Amino acid sequence: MTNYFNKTFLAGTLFAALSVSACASDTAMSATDTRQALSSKTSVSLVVADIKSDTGYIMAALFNSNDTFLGPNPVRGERIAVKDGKASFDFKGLPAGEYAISLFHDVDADGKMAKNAFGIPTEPYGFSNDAPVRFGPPTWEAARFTVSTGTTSQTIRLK
Amino acid sequence: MNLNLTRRKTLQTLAASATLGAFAGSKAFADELSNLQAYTRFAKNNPWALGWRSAPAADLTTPKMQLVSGKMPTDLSGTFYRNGPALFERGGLRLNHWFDGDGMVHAYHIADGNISHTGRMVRTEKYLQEQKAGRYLVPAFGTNIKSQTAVTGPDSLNVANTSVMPLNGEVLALWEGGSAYRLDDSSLETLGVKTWAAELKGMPFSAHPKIEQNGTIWNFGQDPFANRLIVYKIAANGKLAGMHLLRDVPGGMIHDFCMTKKHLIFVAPSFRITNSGATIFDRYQWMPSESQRVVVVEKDNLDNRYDYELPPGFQFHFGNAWEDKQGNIRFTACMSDSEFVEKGTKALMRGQYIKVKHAALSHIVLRKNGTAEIEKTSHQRIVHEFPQFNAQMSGLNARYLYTVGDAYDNAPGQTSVLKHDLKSGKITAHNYGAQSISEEHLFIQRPGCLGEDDGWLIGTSLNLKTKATRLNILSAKHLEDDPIAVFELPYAVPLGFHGAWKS
Repeated sequence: MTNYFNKTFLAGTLFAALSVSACASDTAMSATDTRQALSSKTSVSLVVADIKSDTGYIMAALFNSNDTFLGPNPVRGERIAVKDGKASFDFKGLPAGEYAISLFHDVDADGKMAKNAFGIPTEPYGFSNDAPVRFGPPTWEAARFTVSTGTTSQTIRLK
Repeated sequence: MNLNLTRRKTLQTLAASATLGAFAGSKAFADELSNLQAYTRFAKNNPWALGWRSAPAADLTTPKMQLVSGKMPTDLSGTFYRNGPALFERGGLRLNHWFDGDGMVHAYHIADGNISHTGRMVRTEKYLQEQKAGRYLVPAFGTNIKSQTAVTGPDSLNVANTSVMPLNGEVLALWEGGSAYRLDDSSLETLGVKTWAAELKGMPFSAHPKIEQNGTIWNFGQDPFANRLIVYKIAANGKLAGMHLLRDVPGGMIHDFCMTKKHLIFVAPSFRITNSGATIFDRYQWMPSESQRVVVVEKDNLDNRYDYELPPGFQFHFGNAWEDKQGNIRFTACMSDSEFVEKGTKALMRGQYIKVKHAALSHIVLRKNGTAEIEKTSHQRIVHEFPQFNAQMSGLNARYLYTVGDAYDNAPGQTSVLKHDLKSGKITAHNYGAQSISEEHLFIQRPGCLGEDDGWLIGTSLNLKTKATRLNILSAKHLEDDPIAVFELPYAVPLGFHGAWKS
């Protein structure tokens, strides 16, 4: 039964994407500086809910297309501190368009999504729109949201 | 005119009801009924359907079971734990497959000549969520329910309904697709999932762990979709002593395994996982021309592996296994095909019975030269299931094997407990009578005795006449004698699967 769950998780690059998102954030940031100048008033305000402990970080990855969704190259990656069971972050200066977020709670702060011996994720995770997890990660269609001028809010509950 | 109209109407109504009556008795009509409608309708005429009715409450307590006959042995004390599916309906939906029901663990506590009973539903994540909602929210193993909440891994579907294992002041409620659930061994209160190690979180842990004489526990968890198994070794103190990933194990439904002194034996039956089916269960298909594939590994070095093939077949359970003087591995299996698990179990949920091929005791040899064979199959006393033996003989050449047996002709279940003398081939039995369904019986060694059959067989039976569950204590040595003692609960609990004993 198990691979029913991890087939998509393992074969897909969701957790690869999440794992590299912390590193990606460094390179992404330089690109961000340019974009911020272009559209400094367009942002995504992310709130992460249902965090069970304050240990570790929230590792979040922001994608802007179906092709890159859950892949190793998010447009932004961010490591977010957790305090009193809460974590939030504003992705600022984004061009208007379609986006999706995947994130996980890196409870042991090792920068990687923990998985069991069959490859099933064992750290809490979530997706924009609280897109449903049914034996695997959601589709781009389920997780995408539109960003236009101003602030777009996304509250993601960990699963 | 009025009269005529009335008369004509009456005739029409009569004709309609006659048609309806005939239709109501037809197979087409029966097939149209939902599981709940069918069960409600057919259970009335089928007393055995009591075995597949939900437990009367989520928590059951009987401080003192009623003595029906005999006398409790003065030297018998301990707790007999059992597990089985016990809740089959929510929000008007009755499950499709027997194995889908939420598990209830029972403790029959035997002390000072009395037996008390506690039964509690295991508060799995699934149970708690669905009880709160008053309806099913996630797919069951064999019932196609649309997910209405996150399904993040096997434990999202875990019903903890198959067996039990006492361990360090707790009892583990075992399933086979996901984690074991920890229960307080006295109150049966659910404490949470058992995580043996961080990398084993949420991993399947089968319902048939094997225990060596020194207390070392071996078990496995299967991932049929990726043809692999995880092997667990747990020390007598309950701590994980090792794990091993075994690859290239065909995705046949492996429910149980075998252990000798030196080896672990996994048999992948001809009931194999495929890519199509509405439920996980439906993705398994009977492949009558596919050999059973046997994988043997050495306990001392799990990388040392030997593969064998056996003729097509399916079994849930194995008897004991041992190495003979020539170094061949021998074991017994309750072998059949997949008809019962595929069709029989679904009919039961609808209060209907369909005749299926019964499991029979097969004697299997895996030879050192790489050949394997089913040497013989016993068809005496139809149905051999729920095999048990003296735990002291685990991995050794045990002479006696105990199973349930004596199937009904036109109803599910069996009336007897059988004792197979594997040396002489003789079968002796205790028959509970035509209005009983016998469940698994465990062998309990009498304190201070060493004879292989010097002890008791303890097991439950469902009495269809009194509509109550009984706990029976039989002499293993003199099985045909009257029971040593029979006790009865003031209620029926649904027929369950497996039990374990704690002294």
